[in-house]
Amino acid sequence: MKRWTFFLLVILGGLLLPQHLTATGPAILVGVYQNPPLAFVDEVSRQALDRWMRPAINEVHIVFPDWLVWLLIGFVLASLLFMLTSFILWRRLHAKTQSLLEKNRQLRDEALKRRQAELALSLSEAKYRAIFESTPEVMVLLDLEGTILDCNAAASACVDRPCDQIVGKSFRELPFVTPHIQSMWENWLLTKSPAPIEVQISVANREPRILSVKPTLLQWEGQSPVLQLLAHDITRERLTERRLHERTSRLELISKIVRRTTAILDVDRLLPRATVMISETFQYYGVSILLVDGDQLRVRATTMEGAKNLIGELILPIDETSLSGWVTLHGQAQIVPDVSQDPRYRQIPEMAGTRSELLVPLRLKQKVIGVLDAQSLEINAFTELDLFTMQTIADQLAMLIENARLYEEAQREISERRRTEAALLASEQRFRMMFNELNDALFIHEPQSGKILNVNTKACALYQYSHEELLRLNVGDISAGVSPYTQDDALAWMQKAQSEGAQLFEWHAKDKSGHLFWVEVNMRYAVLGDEAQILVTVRDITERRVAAKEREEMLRILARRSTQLRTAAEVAKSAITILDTERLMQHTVNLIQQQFDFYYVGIFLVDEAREYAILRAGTGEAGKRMLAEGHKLAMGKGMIGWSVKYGRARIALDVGEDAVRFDNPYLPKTRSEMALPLILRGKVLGALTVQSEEAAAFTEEDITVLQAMVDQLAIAIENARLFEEQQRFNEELERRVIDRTAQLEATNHELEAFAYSVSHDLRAPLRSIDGFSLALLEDYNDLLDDVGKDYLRRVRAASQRMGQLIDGMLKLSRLTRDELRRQQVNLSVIAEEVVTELREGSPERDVTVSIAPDLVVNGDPRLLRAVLENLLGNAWKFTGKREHAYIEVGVTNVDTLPIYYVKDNGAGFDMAYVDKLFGAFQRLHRTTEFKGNGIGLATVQRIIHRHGGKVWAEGEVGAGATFYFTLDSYVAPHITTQEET
Amino acid sequence: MNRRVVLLVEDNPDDELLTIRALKKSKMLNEIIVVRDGAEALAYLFGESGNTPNLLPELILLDLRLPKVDGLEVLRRLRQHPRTKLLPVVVLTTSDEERDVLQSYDLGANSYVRKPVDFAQFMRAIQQLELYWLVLNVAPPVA
Repeated sequence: MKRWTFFLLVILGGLLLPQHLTATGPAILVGVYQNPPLAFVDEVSRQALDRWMRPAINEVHIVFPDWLVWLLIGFVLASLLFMLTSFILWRRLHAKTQSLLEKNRQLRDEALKRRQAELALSLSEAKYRAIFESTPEVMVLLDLEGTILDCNAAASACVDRPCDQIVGKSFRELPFVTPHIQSMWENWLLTKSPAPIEVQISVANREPRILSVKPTLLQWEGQSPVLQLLAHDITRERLTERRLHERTSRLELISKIVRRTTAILDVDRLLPRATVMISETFQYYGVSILLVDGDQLRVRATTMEGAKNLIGELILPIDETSLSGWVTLHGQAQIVPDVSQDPRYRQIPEMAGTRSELLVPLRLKQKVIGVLDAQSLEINAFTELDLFTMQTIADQLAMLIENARLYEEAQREISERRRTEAALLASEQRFRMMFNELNDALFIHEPQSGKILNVNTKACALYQYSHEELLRLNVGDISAGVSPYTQDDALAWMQKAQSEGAQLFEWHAKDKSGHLFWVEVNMRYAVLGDEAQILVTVRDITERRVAAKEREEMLRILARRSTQLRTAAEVAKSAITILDTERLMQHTVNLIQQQFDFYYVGIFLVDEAREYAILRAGTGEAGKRMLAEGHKLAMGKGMIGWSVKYGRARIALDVGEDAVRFDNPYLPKTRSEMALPLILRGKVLGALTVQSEEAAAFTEEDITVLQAMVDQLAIAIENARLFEEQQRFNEELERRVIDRTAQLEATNHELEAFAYSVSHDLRAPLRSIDGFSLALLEDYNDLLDDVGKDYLRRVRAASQRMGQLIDGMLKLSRLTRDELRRQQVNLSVIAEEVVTELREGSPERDVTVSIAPDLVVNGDPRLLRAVLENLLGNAWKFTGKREHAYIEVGVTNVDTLPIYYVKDNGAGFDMAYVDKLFGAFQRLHRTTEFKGNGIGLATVQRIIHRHGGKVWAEGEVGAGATFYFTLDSYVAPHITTQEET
Repeated sequence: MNRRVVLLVEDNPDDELLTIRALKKSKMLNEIIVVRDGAEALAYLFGESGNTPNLLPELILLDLRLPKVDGLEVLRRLRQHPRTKLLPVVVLTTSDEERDVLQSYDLGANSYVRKPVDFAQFMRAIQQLELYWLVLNVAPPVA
């Protein structure tokens, strides 16, 4: 068998390898010979073995079969050969047919695909253009050289030049491109990072804008890469953030107005709505809008009822003959505090009554498209804040008006485009990438069913569904599902978008995990190709909502805080102004009750014995009744009693639960009660009771603020009490002063009576003594010896001397009693007169007297004369022993307080006794030396003191004396000198 | 011969004695009638009810400080009455209070003399008064 196998293999090998057939042919022929030459067999064997069977070389054996076998072999071989040939031929034919069929099918498929792609492209291009043009986001396409390939309307608006002026140019040629922006470009080329870049652009004459630019490199087969810039204007956010604190409330109101009017894309509906909202929100008497119409201004909306007929009719020229014209012409806002003072004010009968006016231009880019005008019935009604508010609204309004205009235009364009079937410019891929790159989630719905037809990646991310999952859902599945956020509501919105145009609203959405969040939905109805679709842009505003809520909460807290502070301030103010305790307390409880809207507020004060807390003030009828009844609580009884006893606050949030609550029939509605002690310097004065109809009425804050107020009240009550005490004390003092005055008057009276009686009764006996002594001397002269007569003379001298003393005393006492009659007095003149008298009294004396002229003072002339009489008299007397007597009257220290003096070169005195000089009956000289009664200087001192002045003396024994005196500063110098002299 | 009378109203007996002595010393011829308080003086001048009025004095020397009715009151009543309103009255008193002086003149005193302590001076004063009022002065005719 092995031998046959070998041959078969040899033959098959020859057949299968045709290139070797000729070579093996002889071998087959040789094989059937009986005795083939060995050399040939060897050759065949060698060739065969060399080719395939080298490993089996040991198994080669040559056998020789008989002729039958040879015949069979020949037949089989022939059959095999035939079959082989046939098979090969069949195979070849079959392959050819198959390839033809395949080719045919491919051709058919290709044609189909191309048709589909073309359709898709046409659709996607339309979609792309619609979104590209209508998205509020700035979109620009550039090649990597920086040449602008395309831009949308938003981009055009952003840089303030039409698209066709930009497209085809290098972005570097744009005027606002700064070196900074260039370097950002270079950087981006290196990194190609898709991260957003913040760019500030300043177009001439416009506020700089801050854009958040998101670069995306679009790259697809066969085309050079394109850079898509998607810019989001964040300028306003920045500015809003910055101004939020000072103008939050106004902006809230403005944004409310703007948000409510944004969706209105019809100017004739937008303007009346806006004016009414502005007027209502800011309480302006009249709000009007005038729009530029050709080269005139036309009234387009007004809230003033009487002026409605002017809408569309009243036309004003754009010049300086009217306020509106002026504002339009100059593009500047105007506050007119008093229209009657403004020559530009044009009186319109329908708008009479206007006293002040605020006008802001409606500016669009640099163009003034109209005027927003607010009027007031009061003079000077508008502030800078109003100006800011109105200008902000005006700017928004201008944009809204422009939006409405653009929308109309866009609508027109869309229909035009559909007719013209513009050439296809971009691919499906381009649309898809842009669709997905938008910052907002995008949905395309089927208008009738709400079925989701397409979404972008942002939508998937926002709702946490995969693209496929979302396409299986309906709008209701991704909504909160609670009215008004259900499937039906959504469909209603779609209906509205279709019938009324684009809709902007807030929506409560639900993601895959069931989490609810707030979104802002911009819904548009659009017909793309032949298909009607709802295009929806969804923006997550959860943060905005949260912020708004927080702000709302903050405002609420602020409002409450401001109420509390105002109340506290009022209590404080009352505390200062109302010093009557009862009135203060009543005022305070009323104030707290009203401001905090409590059911009842009252004040108890502790009585003197500290046994009871007595109601001293209470609000409303209940308060009045309880006050009338003398309502009081024992210490420790009820919440008040407890609070007063322990000096601590007590709060019962549901009164029924509290054991110490005092059931009060006058206050049946009380459900929570608070007792706050009035404590001052550790002493409980009383307590404040606050009651509410709500079960848990008191917040932590209320308690804190009220406690602070109560502390203040305690001080105020104490102050009022002190004030009353002070009043009492003052009254007491006044009474005492009156008593004392009366006493003094009585004393004075007594003194007078005494002096009177002295003058009469003391002198009478003296006169008798003297009289009878003289009678004795005269009538009994011869009965008395000389000694007796001398004694009688001494008796007479003593009684006369006593008479003089009494006279002196009387004179002195009179000086204190008599009223001081002040007038202009010329001391020089009086001094001259006194000296003249003195000279007449002792003509033998040779005294040099020097008197300074015009010593004019203000005083009692009679008393001042007495002063000079005494001083000059003394000087005269004490110079009596001088050979060259010298007396000087003068003044020093004229500029400040004049000091007058009387100086002599007489006997002088020892300064050691200077203190005794001015005492009554004090004498430094013996009577025998110098006469005198010892009250002269006491008199001088008393007179000078009564004039508010001082008197003092300097002297030296044997060297003379100087007496100085001042009179009070009430001196009118040198006025009547001329007349007097 | 007509009686000529000087009325001395004086409560102090010492002063009375000394005044009379001084008047006597000056050789006055007039009779001196002494009354010792204001009431007495008024009784003398206006008479007690029923009695005929006394002879009007040529001069009244009137002290101010008197028991019962004081001198100023006497003067006032005197000047109110037509019969006595023109009588020369010299106030002779210890007081030199301005108030007394003013009131006296206000009520129509003809003169005001303060009694000095020095009796020699007093004597001179009395003598001068007597000389002036009773000799030099022409008294108003008695009504």
